[in-house]
Amino acid sequence: MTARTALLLLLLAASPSEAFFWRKKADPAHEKLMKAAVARLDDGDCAGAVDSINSLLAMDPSREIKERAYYCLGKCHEALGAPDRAINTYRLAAALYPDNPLFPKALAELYLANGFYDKAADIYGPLAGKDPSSQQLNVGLARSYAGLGAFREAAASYAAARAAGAAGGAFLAEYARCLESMRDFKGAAALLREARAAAPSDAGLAREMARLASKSGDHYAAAVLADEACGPDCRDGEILFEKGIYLLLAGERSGALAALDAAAALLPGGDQALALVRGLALRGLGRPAESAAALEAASAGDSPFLAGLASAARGKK
Amino acid sequence: MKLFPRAAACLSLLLAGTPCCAAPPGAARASATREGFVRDMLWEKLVAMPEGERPPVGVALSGGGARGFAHTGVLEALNYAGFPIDRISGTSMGSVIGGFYASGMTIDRIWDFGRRTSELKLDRDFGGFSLLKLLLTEQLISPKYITQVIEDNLGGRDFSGLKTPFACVAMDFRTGEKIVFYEGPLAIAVRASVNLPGIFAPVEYRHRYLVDGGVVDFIPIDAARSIGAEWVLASVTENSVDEMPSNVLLSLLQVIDIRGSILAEGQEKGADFVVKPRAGGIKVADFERCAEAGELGRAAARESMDAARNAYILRSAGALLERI
Repeated sequence: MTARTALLLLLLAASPSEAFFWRKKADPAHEKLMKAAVARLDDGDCAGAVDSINSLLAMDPSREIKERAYYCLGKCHEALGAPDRAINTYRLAAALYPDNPLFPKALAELYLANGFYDKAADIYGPLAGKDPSSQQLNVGLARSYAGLGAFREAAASYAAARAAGAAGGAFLAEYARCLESMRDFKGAAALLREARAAAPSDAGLAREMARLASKSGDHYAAAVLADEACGPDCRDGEILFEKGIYLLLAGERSGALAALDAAAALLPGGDQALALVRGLALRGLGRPAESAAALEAASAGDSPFLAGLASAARGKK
Repeated sequence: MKLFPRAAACLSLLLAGTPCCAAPPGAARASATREGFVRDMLWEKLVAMPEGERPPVGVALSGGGARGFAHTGVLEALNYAGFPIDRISGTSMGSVIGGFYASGMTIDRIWDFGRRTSELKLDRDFGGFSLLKLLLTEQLISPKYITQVIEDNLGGRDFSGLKTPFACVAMDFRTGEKIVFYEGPLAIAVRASVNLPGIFAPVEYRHRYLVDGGVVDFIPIDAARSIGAEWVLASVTENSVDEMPSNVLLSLLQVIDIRGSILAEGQEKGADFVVKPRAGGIKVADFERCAEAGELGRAAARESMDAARNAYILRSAGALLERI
């Protein structure tokens, strides 16, 4: 059996068992058309699949075929980058088949992916209430709340997802970002440590931990973590830039300048933020001429915020 | 098997039902730009400084009736961002929310009022029997339910014992003077501030007959400065309702509301930063929509939070850069 055949069999017979409620045997001709639509989808011809499904629906097939057709149609619209059409399809199908949980789930996922967080939360909330052991629903609800800025509620849903077994570095890091957003830096750091234990080779986690350590006021620890994120002989200008700021905030101006100079060698020239931070480090080191030159360059950049800071720094001895 | 990536994704979705969503939204993440990174790091340095070493921040909450509940979402977003709220002032509904916050009430608990407006019967002060009495006897309404909420939560408290210094604004009905309260009993001052003229009976206090401050000072920016704020963020909930009111009471409410919005246009220039929740479609007496207003407030504050932080960092740059 080919992989393709296996996929089709799964799609048409086995996998939807949790959702589709076959009440009568479908018309073989309609079944054939449905299979043809899925085959087109399988071949990457989503537009053709849409045409096939629309033709099929125009033939008023059985309720069961329609149910599958609407789901496939929604997914085709998603694949074609037409979320509005997919949303309309799922909404219609959810109204026609209220017992099928796949439609509200698909609708919620689509709302979430397209930034309609309030609508996503309105769907995920009741679904997660009915199935509190679902990682997927709780994570969906958490992301919806996070999108709305309701971080306390988001954290509760992440906690529920975790209780339901959600784990792994990516999930823990996502949960940590939620806690960070509500300024629970300690809780976020604990989760990031766990995430790092789960994914020790993920340098991005060390970088996130560095940022969190600095936010918590431990700038030295942040610099050490930045080193861990980049490794010896670091060639990542962004991380070196961040390390430079950590060291500057820690009062280690020489170290900051060294990191910033290393960053400058790797980043495109004329960076306003880099010029500002270098200017501040040089100022702290008592090198006024070099500091003034760097701050002047920062004052002339595009960002009014950075220019304003540079101007303020130039006004200070 | 030859599959286009989209189709493969499509099929995997069909088969497994896994979430299709992209990266999680909203939560903190590594700043996308170096500017953002500089802001984030300087911000934490700044807000860790004690109030005396940086300019005290005031938050001025406008009037707006039920729409004013948007301030709850604004305060929540400010808290999440770590914005120091050193002073707070309020007019009308802003004084209720501000008074709650100043008293140390958690944002969660303030949200709870917005979600329980039906249970608290706040809308009854504006309709039904109250309206009938107003029309038939020409006696102004004594707002029983809003008074109850204020008394239950702020009764017995004094301005001097508040967690955050607070001021609220009312108007002397006889003279038109603006009255700023920042000392004495809290509940009666808040009650006076949220006392719609021509609808609610004036509050008699300190030999004055007091009504809602929104008529003379819709955004109490000066009140925040009068209690020590040097940098003021104003949360402004202007009216944008575009419909004819259906009765005398609602007509009067709309006139007061329009007057407040006109005042706001001029007043907001006095703020150092303005957050404007897009709650204008919620009417003064739409108390069942308080939670919606709160969510709109949170969304508006989040949208402008980076700009607000930039503005406050720049205002504090002198003190901040001395420590670097």
